[in-house]
Amino acid sequence: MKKLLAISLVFVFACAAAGIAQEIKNPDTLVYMDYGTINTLDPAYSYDTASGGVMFQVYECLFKWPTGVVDADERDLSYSLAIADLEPMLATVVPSESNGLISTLTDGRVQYTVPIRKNVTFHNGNALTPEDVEYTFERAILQDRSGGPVWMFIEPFSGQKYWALYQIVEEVLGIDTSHGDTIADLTPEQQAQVYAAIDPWVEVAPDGLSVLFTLDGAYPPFLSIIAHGGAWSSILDKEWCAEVGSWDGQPDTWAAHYNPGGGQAAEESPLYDVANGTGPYKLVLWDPGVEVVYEAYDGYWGDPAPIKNVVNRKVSEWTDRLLAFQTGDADIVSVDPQYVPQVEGLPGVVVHYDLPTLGLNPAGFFTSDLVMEGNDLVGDGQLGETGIPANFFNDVHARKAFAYSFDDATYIEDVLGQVGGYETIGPVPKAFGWAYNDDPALSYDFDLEKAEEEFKLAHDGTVWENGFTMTLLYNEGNDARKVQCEILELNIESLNPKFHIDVRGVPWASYLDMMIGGQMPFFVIGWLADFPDPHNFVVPFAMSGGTFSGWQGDTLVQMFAEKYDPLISAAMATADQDERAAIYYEMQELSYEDCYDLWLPQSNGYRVVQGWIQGYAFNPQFPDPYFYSIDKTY
Amino acid sequence: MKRRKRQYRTIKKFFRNPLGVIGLFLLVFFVVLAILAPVLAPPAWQDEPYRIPRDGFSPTPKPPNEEHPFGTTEGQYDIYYGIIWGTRSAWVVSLIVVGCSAVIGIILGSIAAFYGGWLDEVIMRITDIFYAFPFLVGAMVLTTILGRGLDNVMIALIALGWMGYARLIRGDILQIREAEYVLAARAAGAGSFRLLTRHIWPNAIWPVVVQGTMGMGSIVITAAALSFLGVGAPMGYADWGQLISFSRNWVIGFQGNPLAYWYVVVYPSIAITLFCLSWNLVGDALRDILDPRLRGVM
Amino acid sequence: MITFIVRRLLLIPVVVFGCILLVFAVMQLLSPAQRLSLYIDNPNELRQISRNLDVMIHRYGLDRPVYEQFASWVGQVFRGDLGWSESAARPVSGAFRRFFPVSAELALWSALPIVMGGILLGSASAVRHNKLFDHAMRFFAITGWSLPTFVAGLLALFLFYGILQWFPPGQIGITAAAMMRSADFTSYTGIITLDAVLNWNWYVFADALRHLVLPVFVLSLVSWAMLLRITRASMLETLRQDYVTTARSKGLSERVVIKKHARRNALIAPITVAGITVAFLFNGLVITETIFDFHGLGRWAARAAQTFDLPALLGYLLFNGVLIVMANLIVDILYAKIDPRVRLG
Repeated sequence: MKKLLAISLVFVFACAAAGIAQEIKNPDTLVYMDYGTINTLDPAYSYDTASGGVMFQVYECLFKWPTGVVDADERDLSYSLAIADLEPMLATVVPSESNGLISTLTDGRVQYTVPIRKNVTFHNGNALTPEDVEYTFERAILQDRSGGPVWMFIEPFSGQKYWALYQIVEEVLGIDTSHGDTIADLTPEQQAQVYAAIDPWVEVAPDGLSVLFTLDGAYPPFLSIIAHGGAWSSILDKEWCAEVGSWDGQPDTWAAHYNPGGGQAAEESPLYDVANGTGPYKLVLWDPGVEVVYEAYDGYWGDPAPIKNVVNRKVSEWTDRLLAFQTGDADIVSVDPQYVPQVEGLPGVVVHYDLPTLGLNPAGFFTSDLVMEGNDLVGDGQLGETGIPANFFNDVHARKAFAYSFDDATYIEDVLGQVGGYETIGPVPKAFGWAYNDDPALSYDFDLEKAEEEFKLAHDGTVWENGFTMTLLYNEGNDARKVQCEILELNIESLNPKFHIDVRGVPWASYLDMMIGGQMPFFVIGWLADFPDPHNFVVPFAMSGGTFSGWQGDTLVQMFAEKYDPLISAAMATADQDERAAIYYEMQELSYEDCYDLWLPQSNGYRVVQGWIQGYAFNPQFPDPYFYSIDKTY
Repeated sequence: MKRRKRQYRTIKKFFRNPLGVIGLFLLVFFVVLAILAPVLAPPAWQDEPYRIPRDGFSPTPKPPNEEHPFGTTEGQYDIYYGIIWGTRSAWVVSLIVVGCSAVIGIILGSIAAFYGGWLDEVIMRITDIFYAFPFLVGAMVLTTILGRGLDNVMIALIALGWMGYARLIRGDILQIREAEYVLAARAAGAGSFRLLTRHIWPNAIWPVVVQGTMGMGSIVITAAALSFLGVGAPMGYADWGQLISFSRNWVIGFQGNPLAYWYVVVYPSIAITLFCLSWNLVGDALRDILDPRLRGVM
Repeated sequence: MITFIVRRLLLIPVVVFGCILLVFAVMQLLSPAQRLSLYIDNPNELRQISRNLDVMIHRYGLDRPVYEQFASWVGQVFRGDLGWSESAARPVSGAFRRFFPVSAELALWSALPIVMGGILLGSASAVRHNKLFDHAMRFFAITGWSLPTFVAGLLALFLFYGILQWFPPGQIGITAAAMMRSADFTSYTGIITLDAVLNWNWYVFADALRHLVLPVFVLSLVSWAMLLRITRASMLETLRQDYVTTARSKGLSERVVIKKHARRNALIAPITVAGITVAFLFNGLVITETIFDFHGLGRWAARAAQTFDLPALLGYLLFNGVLIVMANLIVDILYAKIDPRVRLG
């Protein structure tokens, strides 16, 4: 007896020592700890990753992306971001030219026919019908929350003519509601008129089994916009939406639901804190800032979810997350890149490095024609050692000089650390292999000699002769941005004793304010993909009205309008991938010549996985993680 | 003659209190450290001595080595430099904040207690208004608006910290005012001002002194808390609180070596703790000695 | 006495609105655009915001003068609407309902160790002046007071959770939380230990207690140390007073001397400090809740401060103001009770 006890004790200790089979805690609950803020559960309203992450689990879309698997035992990167590889989800077939479900009508419009799956129910028991699909898109378009994602519908549907509902209202009714105020006052007749203009875009097919999407012009990435991963395309239940107080689907009642809270008060939308989807998990409770709880939906049309419950706790203290991960109380936690070494050696834990990401975040921007009033970043505002003039970065040589002064290798090694990174050019991210021009001549490598040359050419030599002083800002708390500024400071000041760069931290609010206000000579911000197409990137970076490019001052905006806008439109006028690639190649060559942005190194993707996590799906487009794909077992 | 003898006796008594002596020694040590900062840790930027030199940009702390005797924090800020120059910031912040708060508090509290009536009422209501401001949150709001920086931190801490002194001295004065020896002095014909300075203040002030010495240490801790919460001294400024806030995510190391980043936590913690400790020891000893009631006993 | 109390209570609105007006004034240091841009955390959203900046500012009344904004807030409050808290993603009143019980639970469980420990041990220490007990208590108090709480907290977490796995962070564990969500558990108060007892669910009670140990310890540490020292100092002083010596010389036992004569007078300063302790506790909550992942008022207020969540800050000030004024009132009443020489009003 004693011998048996001794042997079993030895066995237990041996197991413990070898780190084998740490007991799986809470076997029927997946515990996920992160710290993102969820803003809303209204799919047409939400435009941030954290909110999107919730809808990703409980709602579904018409199509989905193929995924790879990156978990404790496997590393399978066979995901795809190509439209040709899309798989059916709530649709039964993915439209394509070859299966005839994409057709060009006689008037040039492009029509997609999408057959809708039968025997699918929402969490409240209602059946999914094509009417629900039509309603979902119309509701989004007619809500068009300011600052929200619906431009991604309006742009393709209108043949790239519009990006906001108010423009349509103006066209149809002749009323300028560009600041959104008076749409709520539209009479039912006026509302019906506007509705009539958008109605043809999404219709239930005559046979009642499919939905017809009719675009006023070709828009190659359209299907990727409505694939699973983009919360805005989550299919809603029309009856349920009306029940909870949203639009009832009638042509003349939508104006009351337009732009809830002016786009800045998410709680005004009736769908703010409730969810009813067709997905494998249903929402049990959302305690804002505290936790989200899910439960497997047993009426799901597909295979049931492997894990019955999911608890997503918001834990902002890294040490708490780390300890929970260590003890096994948490199955998945968000790990910032600099803390990866702390989780690496934990027993059973697997860290996958070098995973692809889909973004240009961060990127550096130059501002031409600076706004000088009340601007304390420009010194005395004169071209001389004590300041910079408004047109400092109007000169391409000044921009190139800065580009040559950024030490990518040091940044990657020091700042990105273990996770590592890669150099890139823009405005097309490297992840789009088919459109990314990897000609090494197009990149500004770190070269202080060339930087000096360019400085000597800038403003006809006056910059080099007289020197300059400028302030670079970072937003407090963002050490990576601080370092980017300091690297520039270090290298540029070393070239000429008359060059002075101050680095200063300011609150995020101030940073944003000055950035939008055109006061910062150089600013850093990033863009994460909405949908996986180069178009989604070239617009904010290189279009005259783009989100970031629009802040870069008159001279640069003018340049974008003249040189880049036509290219951007041309790239969308054809569905032929090779043709588009050629245009994007040209765009990148021009970007090299014009050097309107400083392309910063990008961080590599990575994933940290507990030893008992299986099946964890991977696709760079996903708001990680996808609970449905995960199982807890060895 | 009498006074000098009394002072001599007081000093002698202080040195007989071992804990007090230790405290004093530590304080002297910190003063010397602060004075010798430019010698012990020569600044990398002459006009910005409080800017901690950075050896690279790596986000992982590196252990103590020849170049960096106390190691480096995340972002490669030299801990040794931070500790040395942080001594200066600690002195500056604590002296100014405690000094100003105490002065304001004593003045207002004395006026309130001594004159009573509606003046007392008004001053106490003003005290209440300031009390109604949650200290840490209020300091955070102020520093977020005014911007990071130790001067703004000091303004915030003074504005929100004087009330304790006011209330304390008012309470004591109220008590002492009715004490026998004061009544006796008043009966003997002593005037108000004489009463205040000769009889009341010398006796009422001691809890305030004790509070002040505790304040010296606690201000440094509060400033550290503000840095911990993301307001306070700017990143890379030589301030113990800043260094502590750098240590927040490195308390636990990695597998096989959970205390791998001990230096990021230990050095700043020791600095703050010792500073606070020394003030408390000294304050405690002083209290024991200078309290007139205990003079005979010791 | 009654008139005194009533007069004090009537002053609450004066005090509270006084500081709220101050906050509005201070807030004006930020431009409306800066205040608005705090709502934006996703750069992809900026696409249309920058076009509509003026509209947004106007919609939220951020360009109206201070007194107008203040007046409209006051009007709202009287209608029972405290506004919406961005940082909590729920109405301010909802935020209170959700977060207050969490902080209350922490504070209540800490109150006992703080007050009992501080005052009792402090007076015991004074009585044993300069003996070993006294020195030991002084040492503990001084160290507890000197150590930065977040360091102590993180280290405690590391030792007791990371290594020993005894006391996890967070308020409640996964299994207990699931129990609380189920139909056979009703949350009456939001204070988990209390609710657990009311539901006669000892698993939840034990689990909640397990999560409370470390934060209560950290929270109490500083306040306890301070209270101990003040009590000791005050007690020491009182013990040397003439009337105490007189009482002793009369032949009364030491215990009677302390209980009847010394303690009452010695308690004046500690009670003052106990009042301060309430304020202290709320500051301690900020850090404790942050480190141990408790979703309470302190943490919410800190986030509101960092992100300028104005409605939240104002609501918190309102609450805090009332609390502090009440606490001070109680302190003053106790003063009067203990020292008959102090006349109120």
